[in-house]
Amino acid sequence: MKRNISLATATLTLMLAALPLAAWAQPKVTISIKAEKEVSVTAKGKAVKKRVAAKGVQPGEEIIYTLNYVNSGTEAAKNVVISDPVPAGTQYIPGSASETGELTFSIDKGKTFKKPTLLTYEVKAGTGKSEKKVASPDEYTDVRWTIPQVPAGGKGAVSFKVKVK
Amino acid sequence: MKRNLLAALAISALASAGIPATASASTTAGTTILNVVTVDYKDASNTTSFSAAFSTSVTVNLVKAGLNVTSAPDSASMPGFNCLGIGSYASGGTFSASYALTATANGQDTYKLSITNTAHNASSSSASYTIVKADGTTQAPATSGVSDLLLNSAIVVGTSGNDTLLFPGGSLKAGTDGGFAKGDVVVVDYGTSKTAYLVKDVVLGHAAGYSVNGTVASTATGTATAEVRDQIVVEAFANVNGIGSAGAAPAFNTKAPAVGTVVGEMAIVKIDVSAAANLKTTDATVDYQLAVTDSSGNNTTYVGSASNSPANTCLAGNFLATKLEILKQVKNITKNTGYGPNATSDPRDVLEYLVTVTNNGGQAIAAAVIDNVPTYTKLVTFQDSYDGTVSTDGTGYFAQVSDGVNTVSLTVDASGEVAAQPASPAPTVGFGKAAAVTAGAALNFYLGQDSSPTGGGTVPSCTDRTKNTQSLCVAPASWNRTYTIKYRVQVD
Repeated sequence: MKRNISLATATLTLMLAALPLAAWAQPKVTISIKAEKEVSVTAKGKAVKKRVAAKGVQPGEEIIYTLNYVNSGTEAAKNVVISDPVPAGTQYIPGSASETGELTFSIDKGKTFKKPTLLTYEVKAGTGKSEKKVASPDEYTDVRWTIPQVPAGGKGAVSFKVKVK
Repeated sequence: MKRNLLAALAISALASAGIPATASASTTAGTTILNVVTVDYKDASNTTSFSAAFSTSVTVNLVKAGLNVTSAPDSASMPGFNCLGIGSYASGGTFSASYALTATANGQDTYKLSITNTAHNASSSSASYTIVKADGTTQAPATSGVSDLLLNSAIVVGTSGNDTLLFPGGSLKAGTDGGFAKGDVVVVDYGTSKTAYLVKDVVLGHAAGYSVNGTVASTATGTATAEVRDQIVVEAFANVNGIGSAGAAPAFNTKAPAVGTVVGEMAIVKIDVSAAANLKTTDATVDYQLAVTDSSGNNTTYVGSASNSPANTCLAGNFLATKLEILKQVKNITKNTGYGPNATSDPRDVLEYLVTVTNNGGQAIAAAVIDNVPTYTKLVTFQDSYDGTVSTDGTGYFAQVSDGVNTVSLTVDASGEVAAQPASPAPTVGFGKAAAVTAGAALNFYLGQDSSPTGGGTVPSCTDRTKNTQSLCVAPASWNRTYTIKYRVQVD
């Protein structure tokens, strides 16, 4: 009976010693957003465009959202999915999302994501028959990038633009 | 590759057209654009899931715009702009007209107002404007200088019930910052028509929020705060003194403004123009213009018609020069003829002279008619009243003066007229005095309000001289006041 207790204690000690090692090796992805807009400035007599922080914008202006991700963990992060709803009061600008990983969009507030050509919905035609219609970019509600793997220490950025209504 | 090229072309095209909107803003200034990004990932073994989130906010700025200038509303639909009625006003009188100024920007702005006037055939002129509230009381006193006018406007994102307009949470200014408030007038755009309503209540909400933000990237998810939209509850804008939407109540449950349309605060501006004619028979006119700009001095709009000359002005009616007309007629009482320019008479016949004084112009002051007892005649006097029992001693009543409403018999020595004048508040009709009853004796008549036994009074253009414009001179008062004087003589 005494021997059995000693064996159990030894097993528990071994398990506790092994746990920190398993918890330590994991991915740790951080995400941040930067909102910017382009302004025209004159440098050396020439008009050039410059990006500045978009604290305030006017209707009609474009906001450039840059999403920075960093894996500061000790192992690779897999199936990294970055999802960003198109903010209320704005409209996605066609073709503005960076082509990183697999780029998909949603027209149902993030319930489903598909590539643009597959984003369809049905409308009733004048004949009463249902017709499939490909969603236009201004109907996109969410943007998603799926990146297969971000290695430990790896980082990257994706971006897209919206127009303020 | 082809797709990338097309995408690049699309971005290029948009960048070249990426000009900030000026008059077509469809988001209220102060709206918070919240972007919350989420990253989901798994460990290397593809078994354990992790998430992190981050947010950033951008605020929508004001896009300044000009005010929409229209006539003041008097029915369910907002009218367009027209320079208001050209009437006739006594020289020195005041022309008044009310217009509506409605904000069209995407948020609150402080507009600049100024007024100018150019007079013709006038010795003096002035123009001022007063901002009045929905109930007709004064909001800002009359001024002829430059003044500020703070007006709110916002873009509708929806409606609730039959009377509530919804706006992005946190976008409207608080009442302490001059935001929309109970009693304001707002114009709601239905697309084909616009209607003015009174603000019944304002309920401010707040923008959506997210707890993870700032400058340090996040490894955690946060908590979201849902948006609570700002609300403006409106009700019918009943007519007060002819200004209002005739009591049209909102029914947003059946007819709502489209999302994205502007709800603008409306100010009612009353313009007063005055001028004194400087020519005897030529009326004075005044061109006036109220100019309104945004807080930067741009986007100028006018109370004034572009097609007028000078452009962007309105014509304040005719300020009538004083124009008293006098007509003297005679009839033979003995032979019972009618009044005419001449009459025939036998000796001892009694003739009656009728002197008619008509004011076809501005108000005349110190109005007096000087006449004489005709040669070869003698003034007829009466004991009790004009056309009563003939007096044989040359005393008593000798004439009758009428302003078309009241009639007064005049005594030779002007001793009885004070008591004979109509009771207040009717204006004094007039006085008279006969120097003697013999031929050539002076007959003095003093007409109008504030006349006396020794001096003439005011002969107004209206029977109520306080109503010194034709538009104000309504029944029972009447325009163009006519005075008549009658006296009789007996041919020698």
